[in-house]
Amino acid sequence: MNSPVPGAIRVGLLLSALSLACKGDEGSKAPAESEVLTYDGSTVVSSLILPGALPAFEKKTGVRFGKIGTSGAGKGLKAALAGEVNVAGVTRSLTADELAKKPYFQIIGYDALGIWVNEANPVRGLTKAQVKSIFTGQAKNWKAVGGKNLPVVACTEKLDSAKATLETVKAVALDGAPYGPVRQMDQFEDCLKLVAADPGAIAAATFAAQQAGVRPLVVDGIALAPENVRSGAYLLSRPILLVTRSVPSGGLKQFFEFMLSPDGQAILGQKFIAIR
Amino acid sequence: MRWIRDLPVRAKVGLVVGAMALALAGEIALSLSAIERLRVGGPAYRGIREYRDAIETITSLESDLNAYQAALFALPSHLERDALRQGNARRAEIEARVDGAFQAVSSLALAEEIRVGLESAHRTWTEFRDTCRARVVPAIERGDPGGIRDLTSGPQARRSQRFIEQVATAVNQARLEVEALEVAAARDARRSVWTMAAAVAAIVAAALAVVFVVVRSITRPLRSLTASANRIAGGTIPAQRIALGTSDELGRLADVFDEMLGTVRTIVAGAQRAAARLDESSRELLAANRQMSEGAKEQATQLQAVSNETAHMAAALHELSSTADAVSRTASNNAAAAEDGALAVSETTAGLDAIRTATDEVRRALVSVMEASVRIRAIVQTLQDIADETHVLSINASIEAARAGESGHGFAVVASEVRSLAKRAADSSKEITQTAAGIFENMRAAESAVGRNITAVAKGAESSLVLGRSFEAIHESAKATHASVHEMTGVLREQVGATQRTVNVVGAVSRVSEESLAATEQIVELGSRLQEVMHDLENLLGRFAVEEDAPPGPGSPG
Repeated sequence: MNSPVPGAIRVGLLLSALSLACKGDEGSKAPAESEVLTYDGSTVVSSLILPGALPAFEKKTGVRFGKIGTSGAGKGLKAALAGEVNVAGVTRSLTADELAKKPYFQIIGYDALGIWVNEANPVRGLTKAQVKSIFTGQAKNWKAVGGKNLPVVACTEKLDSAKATLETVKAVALDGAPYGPVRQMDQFEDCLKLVAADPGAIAAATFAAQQAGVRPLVVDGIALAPENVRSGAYLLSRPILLVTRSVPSGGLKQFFEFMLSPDGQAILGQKFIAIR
Repeated sequence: MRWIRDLPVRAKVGLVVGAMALALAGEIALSLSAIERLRVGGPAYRGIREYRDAIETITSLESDLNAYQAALFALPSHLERDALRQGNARRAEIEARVDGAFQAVSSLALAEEIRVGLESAHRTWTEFRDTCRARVVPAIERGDPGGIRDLTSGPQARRSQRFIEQVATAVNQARLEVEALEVAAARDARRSVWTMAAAVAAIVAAALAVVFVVVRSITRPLRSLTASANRIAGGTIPAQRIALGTSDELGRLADVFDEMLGTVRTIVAGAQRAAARLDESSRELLAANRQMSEGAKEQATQLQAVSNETAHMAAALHELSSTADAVSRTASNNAAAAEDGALAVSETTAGLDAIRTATDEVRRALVSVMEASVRIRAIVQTLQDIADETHVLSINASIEAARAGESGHGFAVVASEVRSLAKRAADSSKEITQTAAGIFENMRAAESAVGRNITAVAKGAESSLVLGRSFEAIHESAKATHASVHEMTGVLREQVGATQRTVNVVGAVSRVSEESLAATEQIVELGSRLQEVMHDLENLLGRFAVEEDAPPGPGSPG
């Protein structure tokens, strides 16, 4: 007559263990709300994407970002690969050396630099070589590139500011050659205002700078269109990458997911080209 | 659960075994299903497998692209037509493979962002491929170096790099998905294990419940039976029936047990009543025996007494007979003596007459003395009176003397002397009176004695006459007695003989009575032993307590 009691105890133990196991399960699934993420890298990301994205992300997930560094793509990537920050923003393709370190990355969007001219400028497109000649100071009149007789006014941000746009244009379009005599302004917006006002002005600025009175040029026969930017056919296009040392988890994974979600892409799309 | 109680024990055991087997089978089935579900490649891993396949396929795209580019770089000039054809065939093969890969991954149920990323990559690839077909390959075939330049640093170079980045993004996203799926699969596996454990526990609990009910349906009746049997062993015949009311073997056993209980109750109660009655009867028998024994004893004693008395009587009769002989002889002697007595008595009577005459004379003399003494007393009385008067006179004289005073003094002395003389005279006269009275009394005593003597003598004379007549009567009587005694002696002798015979008979009766007494005592002894046996029997039966019948109620257990 002793079997029923141990039986009951067995059932009770199993059930309590089961409930404990379920609780444990839930516990491991819940995000650590105290988790604070850190960022460093591209200022394009930190100044143009994160200010709009982070409040929505934090509101949605409860995961907060602490320190947001502005060291630039290279340094930020190194910091992320060294584990000093959780995630780095990189607005260019990774180099072979960087890929050799097997980082984890995703394209969250695309950026492109438009070569903006006044709406009234008859020139529709330039080759890469023409762009180079204009910004290196070799072509001083639009006639040289098939335009009207009008002096070229090339405008850039301050040359000593090491802004990403300057670097990109220099690396991609000028093949590393130094800028020629250019009008230097504090912000690219100032250059675009100049372009809108001066029919001879030309400036390189982000895709998102689209405004009245200015028009992007076709470069190497490829227009500044989202699909051309995504495929990389457009010369001054670049991917926007989030890079981490290893496969992200927890809040970091949630951040990747958020940035690729419709909400995240909508925020990114205000100034950049979304992945779709 | 009633139906379980009604099952035969064999079926109960079968039920237990069945329940256990069912539990075991359930556990095995659940375990097998869990193993099937959780095994690598099982349903839980289907998603993971798809993603892994997708990753493999997507990763292969990168090498395909490289191979495609290599094939382009390797394109010879238009002059070598066979090699050109081979190169184009190689490209076409790679193109087909890449298209097939994109088609393959597009058919997979991948996450939205991965599909979007792959679509971008697919578009990049399509642009790259189309550009190669339209411009690069013809340029190479023409020998235009612009074609190769396009591949190395132109838009095609950027497209190929973007393609690789897009593919890497898709792979990385797929890796995240795989990781998430693995976590989910592990959670699912844990949950499955616990669900299975709970199900197994439930099955085992149900089986144990069945076993419990079955075991209880066996052990409870057995406990009831054991308890009842224990009570019987302790000497109590319980009134409560077990009355399981089930139709299995135990139920039938309980029914038979109940029936047996009823029978035992009836038997024990009957035996106890019989023993009580028997005990009472044996008591009465014993009492009667004792009484009978006492009576026999009494009888024996009395018979003994009768025997003794009879013997005594015989002896007395014998003695009487002898005495009668003696009496006969004495009576004869008496007759002679009585004759002699009558003669002596007539002589005595004559002597007595002479004595009476002399005594009468003495008496007359004494009476005269007594008369003289009476006269003396009269004289003395007179003397006495004189003395008294003299005394009174002397007192008066004394008083007168006192009145006379001094002159009477001498007279007073005379008066006093007269008074003492009067007193002496009175005293002397009293003395004389007393002496005369003494004489008178002595005389009267003498006269009385003499009178009595005279009476006695007269009586003696009279008695002598009577004696004489008596002696004559005695003589006659003695003679008659002698005759009677002689006759009686004969009768007595006959009586002695009869008495002796009586003694003999009484002795025989007494012996029989003693034997009867012994037999009675034996009966009493047997009666006592019977009483002891009855006592033992009663004790034995007294150990059984037959309970009162309980009122009909929920007596049956369960």
